[in-house]
Amino acid sequence: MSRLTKIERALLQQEQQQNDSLFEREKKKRVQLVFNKMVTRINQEIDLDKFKKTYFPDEDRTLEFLIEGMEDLDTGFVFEGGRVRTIERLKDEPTVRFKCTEDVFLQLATQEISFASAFLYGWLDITGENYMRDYEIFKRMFNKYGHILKE
Amino acid sequence: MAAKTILDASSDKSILIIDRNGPTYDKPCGGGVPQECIDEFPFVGKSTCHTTSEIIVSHRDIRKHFPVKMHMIKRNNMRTTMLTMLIRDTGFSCDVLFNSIVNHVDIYNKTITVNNGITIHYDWIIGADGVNSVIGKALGFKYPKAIVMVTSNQSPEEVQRNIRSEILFLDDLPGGYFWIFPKGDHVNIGMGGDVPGRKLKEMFEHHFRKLGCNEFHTVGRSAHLIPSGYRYLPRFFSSLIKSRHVILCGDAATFVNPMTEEGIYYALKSGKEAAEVILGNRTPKDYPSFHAYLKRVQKIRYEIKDLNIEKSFERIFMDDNTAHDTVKFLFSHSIPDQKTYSEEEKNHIYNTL
Repeated sequence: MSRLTKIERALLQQEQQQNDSLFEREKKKRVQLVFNKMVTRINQEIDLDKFKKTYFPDEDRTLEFLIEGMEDLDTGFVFEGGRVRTIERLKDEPTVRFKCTEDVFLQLATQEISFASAFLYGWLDITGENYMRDYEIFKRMFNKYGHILKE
Repeated sequence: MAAKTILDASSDKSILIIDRNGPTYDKPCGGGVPQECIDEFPFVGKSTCHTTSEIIVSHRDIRKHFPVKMHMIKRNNMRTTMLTMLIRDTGFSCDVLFNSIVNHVDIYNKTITVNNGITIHYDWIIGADGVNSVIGKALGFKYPKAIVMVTSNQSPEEVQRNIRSEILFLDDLPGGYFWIFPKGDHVNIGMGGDVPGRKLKEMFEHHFRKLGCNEFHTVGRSAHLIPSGYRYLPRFFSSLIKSRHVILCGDAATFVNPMTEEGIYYALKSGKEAAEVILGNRTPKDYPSFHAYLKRVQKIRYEIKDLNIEKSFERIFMDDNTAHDTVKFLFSHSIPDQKTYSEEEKNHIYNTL
């Protein structure tokens, strides 16, 4: 997976933030909040040991979920040491990357379409190795915990 | 289908159909078509011998019911209906050469040679001659093939009444499935997958006995080839359509759903669309209209190929909603258009997050 250097990423993030309108900033704040809430919920409700044994017994996984136009946000999850935390874009190297348009994300967020449907229709651009396992994780996030988007 | 579409639109065209089989030929096959096939081609409904309101998909001890309406058809009835319709509705302006095989195609001089030695010149040629298409091979098209075993069985009336359309995924059959489809007066049982022919036959016999099907009286048995994978390249073929006036349809173009192996609907639809290309009502690059869908299904098949059938099945079917969405997608034959939100709508949604 081609990666930008940390400096390039930091500059890109800074530039995007400077260019954002007030609405954009508010919008991004809300999206970031949603992903942070998901992390709390996953840690509370999923048996992570069992989850790890089922999907990735021998490794930690870093899942990046990019939304077009909001690439500077820390949207994604890191599974390490039996816990889940929010991805830190400047620090964490993703093992798999899911990318979708803002429109698709909104359809997922409003549960107008399921995560499985977005995958089947080819509306998720997925790169990385063994991503069918990671797909399962995101699918569970959106299908089981998607309701928190509306809370 | 192509001949009828052309003659319906323009009666001054001269059409010759070269058929390797006789007029009463019957091809045993699963033969299930979706509701939208009947909606689009109502004459197919005349060949329906049984309609199912649900399909049972099973693997080991998991059995799931899905509300999918499928029409089971008899191929010989459909063939007779199409031939009758073609001859009757088009005022006998179409010639049919039965029991004839195209031996050679010269796409540069636009000629074909039939097995009786006659050479015929054409303006346009449509290759609808199946997975080993002579025309497709002349274009350099390679066919990924899979063997399908099919039997026709008569069962006691009581059993017949209770048999429902069932698709079984088996641990030892990668990329395929075993099916049991009621066909009105008989039951069609078959199996297809990515295994060599001899092994497939052994496996078929094994599962046929294991599922108790050998208690039924077998009245017919056959094996035939189907395309195993969607390989059509619109950019390449659209240039051949424009420059060489040659179009491939149905199995000859690998227009088969890579997951369900359903091909009848795509054969009819591509025949109609090939005619539209010839009539100038469709551009070659828009042929076939279902390209994006089949390409996507093929990609999904590649994506789950690394997982064995057991794991992929469990992952898809462990969650009811995902299973429902998957089955719905596989029988929908299209990908919906992506929704685009206006700034106002986005604003509203973000305010509710």
